[in-house]
Amino acid sequence: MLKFFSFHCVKLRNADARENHRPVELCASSEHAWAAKFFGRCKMTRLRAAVELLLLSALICIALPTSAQTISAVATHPSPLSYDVSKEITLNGSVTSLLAKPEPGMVMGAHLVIATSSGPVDASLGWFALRGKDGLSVSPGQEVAVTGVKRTINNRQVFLARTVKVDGQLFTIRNEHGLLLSPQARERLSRPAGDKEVQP
Amino acid sequence: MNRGILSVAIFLAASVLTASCAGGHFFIVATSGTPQTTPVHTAFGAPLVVTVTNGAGKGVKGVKVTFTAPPQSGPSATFSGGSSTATATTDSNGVATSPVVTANGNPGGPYTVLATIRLSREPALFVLNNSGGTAAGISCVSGTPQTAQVNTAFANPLEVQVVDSGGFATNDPGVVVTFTPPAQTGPSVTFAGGVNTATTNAAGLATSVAITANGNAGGPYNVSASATVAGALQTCNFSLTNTSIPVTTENFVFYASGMEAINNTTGPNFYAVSGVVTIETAGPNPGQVMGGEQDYNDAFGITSPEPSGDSITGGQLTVSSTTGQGTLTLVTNNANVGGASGSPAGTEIFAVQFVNASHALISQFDASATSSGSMDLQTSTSAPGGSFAFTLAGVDSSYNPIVFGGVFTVGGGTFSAGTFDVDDFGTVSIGNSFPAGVVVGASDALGRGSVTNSSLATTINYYVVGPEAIRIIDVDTTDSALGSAFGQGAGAFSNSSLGTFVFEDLANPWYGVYDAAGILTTNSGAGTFQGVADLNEDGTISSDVAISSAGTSYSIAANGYGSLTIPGGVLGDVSVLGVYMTDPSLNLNDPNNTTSGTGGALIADLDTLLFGTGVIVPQTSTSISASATNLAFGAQGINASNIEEYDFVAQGSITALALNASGLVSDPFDIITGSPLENGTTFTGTATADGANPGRYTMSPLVFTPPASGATNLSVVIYQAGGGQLFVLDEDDFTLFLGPVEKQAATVTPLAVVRAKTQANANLKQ
Repeated sequence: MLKFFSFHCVKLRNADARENHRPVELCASSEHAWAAKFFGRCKMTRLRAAVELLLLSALICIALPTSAQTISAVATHPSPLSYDVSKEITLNGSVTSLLAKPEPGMVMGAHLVIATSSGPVDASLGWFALRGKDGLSVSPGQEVAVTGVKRTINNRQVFLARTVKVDGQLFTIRNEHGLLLSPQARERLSRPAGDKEVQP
Repeated sequence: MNRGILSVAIFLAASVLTASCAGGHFFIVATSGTPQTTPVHTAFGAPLVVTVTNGAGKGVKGVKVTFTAPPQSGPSATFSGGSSTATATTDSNGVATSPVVTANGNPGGPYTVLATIRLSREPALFVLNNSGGTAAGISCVSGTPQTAQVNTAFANPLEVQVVDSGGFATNDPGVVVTFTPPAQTGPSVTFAGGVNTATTNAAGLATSVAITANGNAGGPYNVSASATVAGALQTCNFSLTNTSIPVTTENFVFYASGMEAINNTTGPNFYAVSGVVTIETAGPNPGQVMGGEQDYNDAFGITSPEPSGDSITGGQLTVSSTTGQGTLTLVTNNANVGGASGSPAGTEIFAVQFVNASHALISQFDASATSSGSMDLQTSTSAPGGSFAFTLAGVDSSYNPIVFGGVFTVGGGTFSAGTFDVDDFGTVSIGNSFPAGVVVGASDALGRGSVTNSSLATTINYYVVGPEAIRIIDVDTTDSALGSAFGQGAGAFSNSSLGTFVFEDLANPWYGVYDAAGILTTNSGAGTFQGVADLNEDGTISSDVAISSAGTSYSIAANGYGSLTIPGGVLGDVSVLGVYMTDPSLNLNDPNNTTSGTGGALIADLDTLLFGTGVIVPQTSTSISASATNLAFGAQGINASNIEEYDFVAQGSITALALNASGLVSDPFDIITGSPLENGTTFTGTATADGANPGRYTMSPLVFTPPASGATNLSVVIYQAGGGQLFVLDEDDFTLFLGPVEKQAATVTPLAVVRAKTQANANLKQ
């Protein structure tokens, strides 16, 4: 993994580099300029990258050992969006980092990395959780309770978060089908009952 | 009879008879008037005089003499009245005198004028000469007056003749004539190759090169001709008029849906837009938008006022006649729409990629929003009637994705029958009946109307493309959706209505986390199917998935309502598709095309986790032509990491499976580069046929190169339905897109003047 990331962290000059008069590292293959933008600018040092990679390795090796056993059983044509609400668990821990964009290898969308009693966990927040006026807002060190299900997607372990509780406030990320709630949907859900339209 | 007259007649007859008997012959001789010479067009100095005598040499009175000049095509003469012949009667001395003799316009000679009498076989001869005139001026003899449409050639060149003082042509070669048109700022002409001089030939005639009316209508105006003749500058004028090209307008119905970048208080919104625009396709301002109306709806604060919708008050279609690529600018009276990237509020810009003169792929291209859709020539404005299949995709009132699909029969302003399915953010409801009392309002002059009480939405507006093609848009303030309804023709469907087909399952733009395509072959008796498919679901690629018939099922009812089920997990989360059959003579991507790529169905993805719509197209061909073929294509894509949309339309050629194309990419969320609008993005790659699955191709890499950023290698799969219709699906883990690929026609613009100019240029090159 470390080698993989070292290979893919290339030094490119871009607008940020010009501003800072130094090269900026992008997490991307040099032959995939567009992909680099999709995954976001890492703006991290190699040391930080290595630390995060170790963290991800730990995720796979420590936090979700039972799921790891299912890697070999992944379907040939997986259903990455499926969500079984009956298998929900709640993890308690403190926030290590909040990633607005995934690192290479992560499932798409934002990620919340938390330290739990059993080790670090990568909780997938999807695409909408951080958007909007009522988007999830947490800081490193904050205690959170994340409810969701463990999944293996693309041979990687991930915890699909449905709700995140911070300081007594509950953020709903997904519905019971695992479908992500957009900020617009969250806003309409939060309206008083009388303000809700009846729609098709 | 008067006795006196009778006596004279008898006397004359007796005299002639007596003379004849006495002498045996009459004789006629030219007495005077020969030889003579005079300039063309002038009278000879003396008349032609003959004397008729009898055998005794005595003049005979009362003999009719006929003077005959040579044909007028050469040097000759005329008598009074312009005739070539004249008569005179001898007097008592046997003398007859011709009328005045005038040289015709042809210099030359000598030539002979004959004088004849009936009683003599020998004519009298007059030898005459026409001398040339003396050049004294010039005359604009041909090409005036003339009229031509702007930007087209006049029928005749301009011709100048050197003339004498009487205005008659003179044979003066080598005279240089200069033509001077008015300034090009007004109505005027241009000379081919810029040559505005001509030199007289042997006949004194100078002929201009071809002349073309410039782009300014007006006149009559003068083009002067000038030449130095007889030591002085002589001029004459040609009178020309440039007429306007008759204005021809055509209506085009457009529709697109995608993701909105404006009104971004909570994040990008879903939005849909549909309308009809009147475009001047031939006339003085080709491409000018003459009017129209539209409905725009993001269900989050920007909804066109109803029932009026937005008025389209101006704009311009600009399109290349060779590539069919360009932009459509729409100026509306709704200040809430468009207005990004330097455009005034209320102005929307769409990238357009014409496939043929009546069909284009479009994408909003102004940084205010991005979307994919199409624009099609409107052939009817009548309210819909008959049986239709439809799909509709958008957001519900909770702003969650929703898709509908179904069939209905409309007539007399209401639905008489119908069944529909709905997938509302995972809550799937199959086989619903439309409520009683659906109201289908009358269409306006532009083919726009509304449908209420359908239960799909409070109000859905429709735009008629043609009798069997309708765009539909939900115009409620709290929910929004966009789709199409297509006629079902004679109906009477069954399981046999589906054979081997290509399907595309395009995600709802508001939850665009997957795209799928494939080739399936049905077993109508067993109600099963098998085939191959590809799926990109949230960046998880399921490529070249073999679908065996085991566990599959499908059914098509007589009204064209049906479904198709792939066992769960075989193709990711794609499992249940609603199928709604359409008229076998309709091309669902290009509804004005009734000759190729016809037939099929609409589909709606009715899975708990996926919300999309698409089409089924019968597979009629599996090989891409090895010879150069021009293609137009477009796609709706997302950045898989945070579900932000980009779209593109493009055009190029494919030769021996090698693609070389370029297009316009709409990227308002800065997914690709720092520019929201990427004009000139190139697409190159070579397809590889999948030997195991005819009609399936892969292209890896498809090199995608926006001009402002580096190249990115993409992996795509292509499914071919027919010779002119394919679908391309992106199979990368950081992006996914799906869209149609269509063979371009020879004519790729609806703008007649653009076509004409192109043809003119081609002719010039020849």
